[in-house]
Amino acid sequence: MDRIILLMVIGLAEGVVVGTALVAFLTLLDIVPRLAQLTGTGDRCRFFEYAITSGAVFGTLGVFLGWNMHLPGLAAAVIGFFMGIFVGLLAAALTEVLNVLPVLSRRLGLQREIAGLLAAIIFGKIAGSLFYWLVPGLW
Amino acid sequence: MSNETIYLRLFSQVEIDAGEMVTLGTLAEIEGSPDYKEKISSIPIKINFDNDDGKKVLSSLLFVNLINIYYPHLKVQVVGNADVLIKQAEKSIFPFHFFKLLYLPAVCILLFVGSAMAIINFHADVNMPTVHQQIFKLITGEENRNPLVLQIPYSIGIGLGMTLFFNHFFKKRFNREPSPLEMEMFNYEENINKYIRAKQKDDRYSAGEKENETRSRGKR
Repeated sequence: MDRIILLMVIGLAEGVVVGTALVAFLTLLDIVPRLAQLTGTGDRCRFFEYAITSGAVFGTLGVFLGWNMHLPGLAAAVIGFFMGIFVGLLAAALTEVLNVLPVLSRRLGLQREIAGLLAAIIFGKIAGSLFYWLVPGLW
Repeated sequence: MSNETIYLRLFSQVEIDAGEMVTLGTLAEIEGSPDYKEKISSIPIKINFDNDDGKKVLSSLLFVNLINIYYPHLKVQVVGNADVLIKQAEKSIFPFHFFKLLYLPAVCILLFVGSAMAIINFHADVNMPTVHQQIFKLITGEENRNPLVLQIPYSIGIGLGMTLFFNHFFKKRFNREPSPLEMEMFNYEENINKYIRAKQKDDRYSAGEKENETRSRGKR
């Protein structure tokens, strides 16, 4: 009996740490403020908090408890699209793109064509991701 | 006539070609008494870029000194920046225009392949295929080793997410704000300018040679 309580306490502690880490990661990359700015909804950030928390809890429970929502394939496409947008925001917010690209464009003397460089990076990511899923046996 | 003031506001940075004859009007905004404004704006000043990096920092006190030599009865008031950073316009490193036409696609191909590799690395690192299978099972209940209906919109969404973050797609913008990339470039340039100003703090008064040059040209 006490073993069960010990395991529950350990699980709770683990969850607290992982949750804090997730939220810290999102905060550090400035994704939520950026989205709020883009949509002009900065004063409603409480709803963003609710959305992030409920999404994390739902995803964890769903995968561990083996839930099944019985939705059609189209829903998977829509949800996949949103997943991609989120990962794209993460990838863009990383320092490697944001700090390296200005310096690189100055070094190469291509400051005015920086929109072209950015387009090359974005299309590269799309192509790489498609390549990884469509070519069989890569993983 | 006796108590006229001139207001001097230096630009923060000015770009000039080498050997160009610069007047005070190109380095600062001059306002004040209408009689002397034009005359002071056209006082010539010669800039020697004696070190390699083609940048020079001039203090506002040098300007005050110059104006005092020409018109001793005027009072000068300095407003704004205390020094101006003068940059030499850089020659393009491409002798012919068509080098640039070859150079840009090469760099773009490099960035294209590099970011494809980066995103594949990321997916392999975080074991994304397994995650996709689990999410697909959560949504539809079927087991599918290759849930393409999830993965293809996901890939397109990656591009859209990055475009949303950078706030413009080619030349079209979503929002009237500056892109974070433009702000980073601006910050980088500001840091460079701050560094140059701090580094050249010592030889700012090597302006003594310029004083002698203008004096020898005679008063207007």
